[in-house]
Amino acid sequence: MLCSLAASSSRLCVNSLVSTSFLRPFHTTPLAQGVFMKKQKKIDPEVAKAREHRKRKKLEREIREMLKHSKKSKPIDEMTIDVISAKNINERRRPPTVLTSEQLDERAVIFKNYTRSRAHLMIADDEWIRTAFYQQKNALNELKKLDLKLYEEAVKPSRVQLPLVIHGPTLTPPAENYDAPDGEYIDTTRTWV
Amino acid sequence: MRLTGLIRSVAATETAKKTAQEGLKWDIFTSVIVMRPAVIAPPMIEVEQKYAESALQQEFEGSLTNSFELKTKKDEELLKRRDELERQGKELSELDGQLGITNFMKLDDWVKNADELAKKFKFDNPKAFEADDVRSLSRALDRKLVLLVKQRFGDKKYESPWILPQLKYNNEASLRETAERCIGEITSGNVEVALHGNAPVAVHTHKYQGPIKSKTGTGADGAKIFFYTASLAKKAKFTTNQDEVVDFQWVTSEEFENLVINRKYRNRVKHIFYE
Repeated sequence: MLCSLAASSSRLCVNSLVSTSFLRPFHTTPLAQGVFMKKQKKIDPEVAKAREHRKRKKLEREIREMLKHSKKSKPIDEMTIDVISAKNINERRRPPTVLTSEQLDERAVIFKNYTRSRAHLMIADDEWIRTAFYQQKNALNELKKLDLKLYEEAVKPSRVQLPLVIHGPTLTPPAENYDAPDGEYIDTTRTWV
Repeated sequence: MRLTGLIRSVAATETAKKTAQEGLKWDIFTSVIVMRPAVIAPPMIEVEQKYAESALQQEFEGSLTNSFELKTKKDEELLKRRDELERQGKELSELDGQLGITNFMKLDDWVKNADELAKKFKFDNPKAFEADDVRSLSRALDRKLVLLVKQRFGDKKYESPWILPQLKYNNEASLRETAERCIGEITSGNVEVALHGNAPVAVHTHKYQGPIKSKTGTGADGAKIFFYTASLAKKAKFTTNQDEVVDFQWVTSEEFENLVINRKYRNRVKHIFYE
């Protein structure tokens, strides 16, 4: 009987999808529908109002605080101006330099020569890398012909600690017998909330 | 297929190896190129020098004066005013509190301090740290140096020409191990040397001529020398094993060209000297 009822209800439910009115056979006791198990105390409406007001204020304050912080972005030092120096900025301008055509030519020649030297350097670098690759390939091929086992050992990746950091060369050699003065490490990195 | 396999199994028991294609037997050697990288940067070439000066000048022209320069200008004016007042025989009270420590005094102090420090630690003359000795690690500080040796190869009467240190392969698991052994053989004490990679960087084929062939005792027709690179740790002390190494030098690329006779041998490792 329940089966047929469920079947008929499913058919009827096509029009009203959320309807539960057909599930009459399920009964609950009035006890389960009871909201308060204990008798509620009556609160003074004035007190309740005050409480509500306080709650609302607290939330509003929090929202205001959050908005304040979200608007503030991390300052970009490069894009801000030094206020003290900016006060007399007109005093700080140098007189414009006037160059003769010879001076301009000289500068152009220097720049051209430098560019040319960098290009040569690049070509030399390229040649060096190609040679290194060629020589190593050649060496590995020869080794392969001689002994396959040794070749297989040679092409295994080596245990290199990566990233590899190489210091130097410096402008002056390390000073001999130099006693570095004692000091404390103070981290001056700025932080933002 | 079976033939090459046979050759390989035979070759594994000997130190001299045979290649199937050429039908020649080869001794395998491993050579280590021990490098001391440049300690200081080389001086700028003329083109670089000129460009650096020009770029600095242009940057200066486009810049604003800084506070120190402004103060210098103000000091100059004040000094001029003082001189004028002194000439007129007036009192200097109007300048009170204005002329403190002038920038000229500060600059003098700084220059003096810098000069003192430079003299003390020889900053002004890096060449003062250099040694003339070809065996010294502190020679030619701005160049890459490579170790050249005259080796005995276990024969007390023998002395090789100037070569990169080398050692015959002796059934080690890999050529890198032979290279490590080679470093151990030519040095004495604790020398910090780091080998680079498992693969050789170059190979040189050397054919034995005349009586040497019978002298080696392996019946090989020549030697294949596989090169590995290694670099000396910073501040490492270097001492050689005197039983094995007759003489040694730390050479630059030009010196290498002059000291090593075999042109083919030189060409195989020339690129290592690139700076």
